[in-house]
Amino acid sequence: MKKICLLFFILAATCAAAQNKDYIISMNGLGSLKLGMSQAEVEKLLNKKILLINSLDTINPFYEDTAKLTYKNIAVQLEFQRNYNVPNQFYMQLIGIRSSSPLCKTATGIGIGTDKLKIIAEYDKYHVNIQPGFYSYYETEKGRGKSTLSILDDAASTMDGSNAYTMVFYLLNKKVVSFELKAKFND
Amino acid sequence: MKKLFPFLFILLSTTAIAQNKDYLLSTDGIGALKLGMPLTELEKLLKTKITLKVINIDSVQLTETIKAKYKGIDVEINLWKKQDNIITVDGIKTSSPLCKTKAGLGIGSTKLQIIASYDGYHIDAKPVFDYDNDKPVKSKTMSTITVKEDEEGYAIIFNLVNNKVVSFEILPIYDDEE
Repeated sequence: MKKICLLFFILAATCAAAQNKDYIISMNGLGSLKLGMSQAEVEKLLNKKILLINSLDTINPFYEDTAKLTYKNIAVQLEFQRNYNVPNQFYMQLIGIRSSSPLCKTATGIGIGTDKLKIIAEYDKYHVNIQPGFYSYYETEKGRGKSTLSILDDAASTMDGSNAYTMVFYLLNKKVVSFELKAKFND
Repeated sequence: MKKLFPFLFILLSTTAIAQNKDYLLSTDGIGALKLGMPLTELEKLLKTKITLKVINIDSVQLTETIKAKYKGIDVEINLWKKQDNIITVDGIKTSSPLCKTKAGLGIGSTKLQIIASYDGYHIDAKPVFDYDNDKPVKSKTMSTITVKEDEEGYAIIFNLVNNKVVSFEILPIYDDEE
């Protein structure tokens, strides 16, 4: 009986560790879902065919498309962009991941509910940008208590031409309510 | 003698409040020294005649930085000759410990104190990058925090060393020039 308990404990601990890894937020992705992956690679990882309407439309210049999907049982919104590797031939590349799952955390434990000042202290050496409202490139959702905190890596901060990554936290009353990981590829 | 003490106390308090107002740091200036102020008003405030060495001498240059004393503190003032030929204050820089924001931020304040103090503002806190053959090299000690009320407009820039304020600048910031 003692041996079974020990085995069960090891099994449970291993599963928990693997699960945690699946939901680790980093600059370049969420668990095994990495920014820069092709649509085909994401489909293989999620074991699901993704329908991106804009990628089928080669007449209108719609370069981006989003899809709401499930990754390891959590809801995610993925943003894809056309990447032209040769003229007139493109593939859809993952450039954004958004989620509000409380399972997702950075390696140091930042996730849903984390306080604004804790994030700033944690990313002390990074470029931090704070804007009122839920800010996005397209529009800003204004509202009392809403703010957007972005952590930019050195490439995003200096726009030096290399691949740039930004981690965005959406805050309500100074606490994280959702997050988004963004990339700008220059290859 | 007893009557003299309250009088002295009131006098000292009034002087201290007036002094604080003189050095109050805000997004539009330091005390009465304001961004956008015409040169003639600036001269009146500083009680000095400013001799320009660039503007009005070099016809191409429209900006100039001067060093001056404002209420006993050292300041650097950027001047700008606008299209209507009026010269105005376009930037102020100081490292005086007398200057403080309404919330008491000044020389020695920390990064977290600044960010906590300006809730609801546009804040950009970033390390300073030097360029070595066009390659950015991040400073290990120097950083800046830019605080604006709106996306564009007047801003306070706090210059920090080891996350503590060492000087401030007040500048107008438009578009993506920050």
